[in-house]
Amino acid sequence: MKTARWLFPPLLVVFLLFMWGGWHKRELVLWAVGRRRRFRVVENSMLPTFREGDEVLVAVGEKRPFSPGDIVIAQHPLKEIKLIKRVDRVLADGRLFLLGDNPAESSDSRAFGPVVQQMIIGRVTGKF
Amino acid sequence: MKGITSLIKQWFPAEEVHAHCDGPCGVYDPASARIAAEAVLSMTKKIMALEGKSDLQSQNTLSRYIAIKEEQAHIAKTELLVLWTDYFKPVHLEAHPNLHDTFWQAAKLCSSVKVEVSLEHAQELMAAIENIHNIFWSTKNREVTYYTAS
Repeated sequence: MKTARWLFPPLLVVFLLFMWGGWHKRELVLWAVGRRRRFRVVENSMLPTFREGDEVLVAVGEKRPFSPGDIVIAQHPLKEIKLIKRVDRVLADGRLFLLGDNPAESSDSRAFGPVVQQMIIGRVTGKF
Repeated sequence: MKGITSLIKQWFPAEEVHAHCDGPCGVYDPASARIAAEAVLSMTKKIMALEGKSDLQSQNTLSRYIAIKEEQAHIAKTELLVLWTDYFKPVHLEAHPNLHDTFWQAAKLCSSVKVEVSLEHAQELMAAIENIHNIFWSTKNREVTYYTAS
């Protein structure tokens, strides 16, 4: 174990770069090491936050619970597509009520009801 | 940095996620039901005006009026049901608790005017659709004046 000590300085440099690199670079590093997944937004229900063609980074396998305001990627409960929607509220039984940011052009929990946590793929951390 | 990410986007497109909306988004209007109901009202009046005439031409015209009335009554009902089941969402019930009954009664009127020759029911259907027009546009926070074509 003692021999691995030479690794500390370079690791420290990487760590400091990671901390000082700004939020976006940090997200890119997390993506590069497989902690974030990229998705490309299609359709208009998340306007004005995301428009068609925007790419987002998504934290997969996070332990922290979802809270209102989080944007999440979810499996559509009735169709073979993945959705991007915002958590409007968390119900007492833990299910999430999802809404689009553009309610006039959004099919969401108003149509298909609240969604169980197992259907959520991850939390959107920002634009790619 | 921007250049690199845009190259990555171009070369390795990410999986799609849908900011999804079913169907032709937001293109709903009670006007389509109103036009069909107006045709029913018009045909009802024309059928009543033919009462007592037994010549061949009148009989031919009568059967045409009946066919159109039944067809338009069916269209009015379909348009109302689409609006009810596709446009309106549970949240709208909070502001309009009578929504379900309003649509149910309006759909039943469509059945009545199809079967009967009833001026009264045809006018009731028009009134029901005017009511739905007002509910519909209030959910969109828009002031749209109700009007009829005839």
